[in-house]
Amino acid sequence: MSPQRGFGPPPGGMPPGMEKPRRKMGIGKFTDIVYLLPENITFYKTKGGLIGAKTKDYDGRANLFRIFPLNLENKYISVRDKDLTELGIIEDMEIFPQEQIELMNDELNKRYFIPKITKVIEAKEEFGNYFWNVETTAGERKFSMRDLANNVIHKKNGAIVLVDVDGSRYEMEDVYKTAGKALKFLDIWL
Amino acid sequence: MNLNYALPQREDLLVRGLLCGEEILYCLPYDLNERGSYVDGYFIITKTRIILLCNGEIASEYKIKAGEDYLAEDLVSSGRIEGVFGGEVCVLAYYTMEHVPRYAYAQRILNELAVGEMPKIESIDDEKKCPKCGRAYLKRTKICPHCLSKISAFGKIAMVVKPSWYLYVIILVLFWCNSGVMLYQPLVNRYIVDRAILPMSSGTMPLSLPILVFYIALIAACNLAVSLIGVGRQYVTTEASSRLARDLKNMVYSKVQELSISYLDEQKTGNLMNRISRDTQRVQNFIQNIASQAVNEIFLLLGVLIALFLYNWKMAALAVLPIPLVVVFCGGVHDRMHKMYRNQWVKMDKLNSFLNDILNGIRVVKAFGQEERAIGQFQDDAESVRRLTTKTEHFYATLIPAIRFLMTLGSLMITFYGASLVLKERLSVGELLQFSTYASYLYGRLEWFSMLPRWMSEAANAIERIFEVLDHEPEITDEKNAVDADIKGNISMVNVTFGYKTYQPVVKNLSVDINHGEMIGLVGHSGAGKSTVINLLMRLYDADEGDIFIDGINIRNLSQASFKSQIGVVLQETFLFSGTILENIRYAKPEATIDEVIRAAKIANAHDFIVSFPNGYDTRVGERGQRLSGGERQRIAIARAVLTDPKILILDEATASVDTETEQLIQEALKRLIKGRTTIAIAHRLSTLKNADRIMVMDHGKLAEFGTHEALMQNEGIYYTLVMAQKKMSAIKAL
Repeated sequence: MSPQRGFGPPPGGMPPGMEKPRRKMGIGKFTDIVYLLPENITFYKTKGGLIGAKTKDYDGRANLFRIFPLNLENKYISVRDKDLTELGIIEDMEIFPQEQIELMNDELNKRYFIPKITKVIEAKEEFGNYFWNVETTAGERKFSMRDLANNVIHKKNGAIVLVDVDGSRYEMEDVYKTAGKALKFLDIWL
Repeated sequence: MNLNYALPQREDLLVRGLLCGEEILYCLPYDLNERGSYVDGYFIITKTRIILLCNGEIASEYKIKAGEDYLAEDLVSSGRIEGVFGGEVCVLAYYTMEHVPRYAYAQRILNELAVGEMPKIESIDDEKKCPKCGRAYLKRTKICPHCLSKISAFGKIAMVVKPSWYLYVIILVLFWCNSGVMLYQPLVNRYIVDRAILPMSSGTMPLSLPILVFYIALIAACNLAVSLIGVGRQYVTTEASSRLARDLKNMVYSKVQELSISYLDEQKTGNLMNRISRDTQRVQNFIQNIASQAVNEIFLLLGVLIALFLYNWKMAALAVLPIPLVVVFCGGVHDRMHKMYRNQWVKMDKLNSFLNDILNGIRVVKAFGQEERAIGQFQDDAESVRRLTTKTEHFYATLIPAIRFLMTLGSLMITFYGASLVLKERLSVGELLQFSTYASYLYGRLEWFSMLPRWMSEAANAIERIFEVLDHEPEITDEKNAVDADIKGNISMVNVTFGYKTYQPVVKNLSVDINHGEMIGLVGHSGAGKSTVINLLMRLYDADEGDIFIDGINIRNLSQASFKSQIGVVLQETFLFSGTILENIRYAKPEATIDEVIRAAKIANAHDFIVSFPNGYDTRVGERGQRLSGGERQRIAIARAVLTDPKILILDEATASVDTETEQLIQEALKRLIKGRTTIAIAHRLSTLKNADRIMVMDHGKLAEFGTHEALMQNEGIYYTLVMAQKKMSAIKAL
């Protein structure tokens, strides 16, 4: 776009979850990457049902972000405090005890809520809108998509993520097996 | 946007029983539980309580005042609303992205109720979905694709061709004549064969030489008439179709100019260019070569069918036998053809957009030595276009011979049956020839119609894409009673709130009064909302809440043309159009005299360097002004702003990208420029705001501080911190 069309940042802004003033992202004290290991961080469930973290210097609510949410879901987890200042990065969740992994996954799966489509009941194109009625791992769902070019995201493992008009996401692991009627309009984006 | 859903009857009874007469203020749906499954829930807000219903049962209840600091948090693909109860953050409900905007309102409502205020919050956002069927509306419209009364793309084109209707009537008449002559010709051929070539076999009297000459002359006349009609038809159709293409181009281009920045920001330039040039060209070709021909073919087809059935209904029945097969076949492949062509177009669009991106950013590509990668990407895209084109053409190449084969079946049957009648002397050779000629006309038409799906698919896609732009409603329009007014430059912003997504305000409750002639510095951290304030002042967007007044007139009641002609803008990245320096300075005021242009250039400190160029003011600046340095471009932009004599001047980091010496020249120019005008200047380098009368300090979308430099320094707030930080940086640099 030419610079004369508008000023300042694009309407999209910061990634979701990171733009709230109350949880303002702090400026890290160090530019070094702090990798967190099981011996220097422990996660627990807070009384309010959220995830908390305890380190040498911090004990309170934690916010977890996937640094590579599409392709390295269980690696490179950015752990942040209640104000979203980064406490450190977990390079690989697998090195943590099972009960800690479950706590982390529980929180991450809420932040990155992407149910998997198990069956396409109905899928049709109507004037550039794509209407879907699907069964997912979270239950039955109807949604609409537009502009498949920008809303079909490819994962490296061959799965695709569909983003609907509201921004909700749905994953299809084996497209050719699951998509059914939707392949009619989906195949060009595969 | 609905913030008070009606509860289903059973749930309503359940809740009313619990509320004992307390009024439901807001009722929002929520559709996720904490285990990540979809549920059917309602989040009910009364004056004192929050009640959550899940799958028809009461799930939980909270006292609003027991909590504080309510927050609707956006997660990546869902959201949750939480509150602090007894010092502990508790999640109240989870919901999908569909309800994120609603809960942004709920956050405000709950925080107001928690401190004992009675909220009067109403949503100004539109629903994105059709209330009837739940499907999403077409983008930026309130048209549901499912419930829409379907007006075909070609119906819309009919509206555009209306002004040139008489040309289409002429075309029709010419086609009637053409069809008539073509149908007459086989009759003459029959007479010649039966009476001159084979008179005995038909049992008729042989023709005399003069009559034969007459018939030959008649055939020549028919051929001549067909040719002349063809020439006339071509002239008229070219005229009609080029008018249509011109009108479509103008309509799309004007619409693009009218559409709001928010729409244009979402579009790729290459994509819009395709719609203005290539798609309209394709529609022109369709009208010129296909649609007009289709009329001819329909007339001829009907004429031939009538002639065949009048002449010999049995043979006619044989002739039309393959038609149902061809129709079924073509109908079957139509959807597939449409899809294949659409896919081809999508890929072509992608390729063009990529090309546009790369050519615009060619300096960046070269600077980072990424030529190989750019070539690789282009080759990949070009390859996928090739693959799709080949696939489509292969399909097409198989389709046509298949249709031809079907039609030869009919031809064979006529030959067999007709020849047997000739042998039994129940039909003359001339009659068989006439019949076969009509049959060949019939098959010719059918073959032509079998190709129509391809042509129609191409044209329908182009028309759809054109109307995708034309059907958009601009978000910022002039009110019916909008006035043209000469403004002085008093600006008043009253409780202005705005977000690019309405539920995420970037500017919050901003109230400020600026007097005409004042220079205001706008400072703050990046992301504080400075540029958004300017976007609102220029009316590139309308505020979601609150009003902006210019000289006491609401900005919405000022005509955009009049208002914008009185605003001058100098940006950090100056955009010059390809053309001469003179044309660029005159851009906003084409009627400006040479005197005015030179005076403006002098004020902008640009005159001297312009004169030093071999071509002076006639120097071509190159695309986007690439042949000039940043400082030169900037000063030409200032001259351009001076020329319109703006009452309000907007300077967005006007000196950020130039060296110190040039900055001084530009500062000098700006000083002359702002004299007597209301000026709003954004600057990161605070020293450039030393001439400002007052400074507005933005922080997280709110007006944090507002006053003179001295007052703000004494205050030792954000501005003081920024100034001190920059002083430290300057000291470090000086070392």
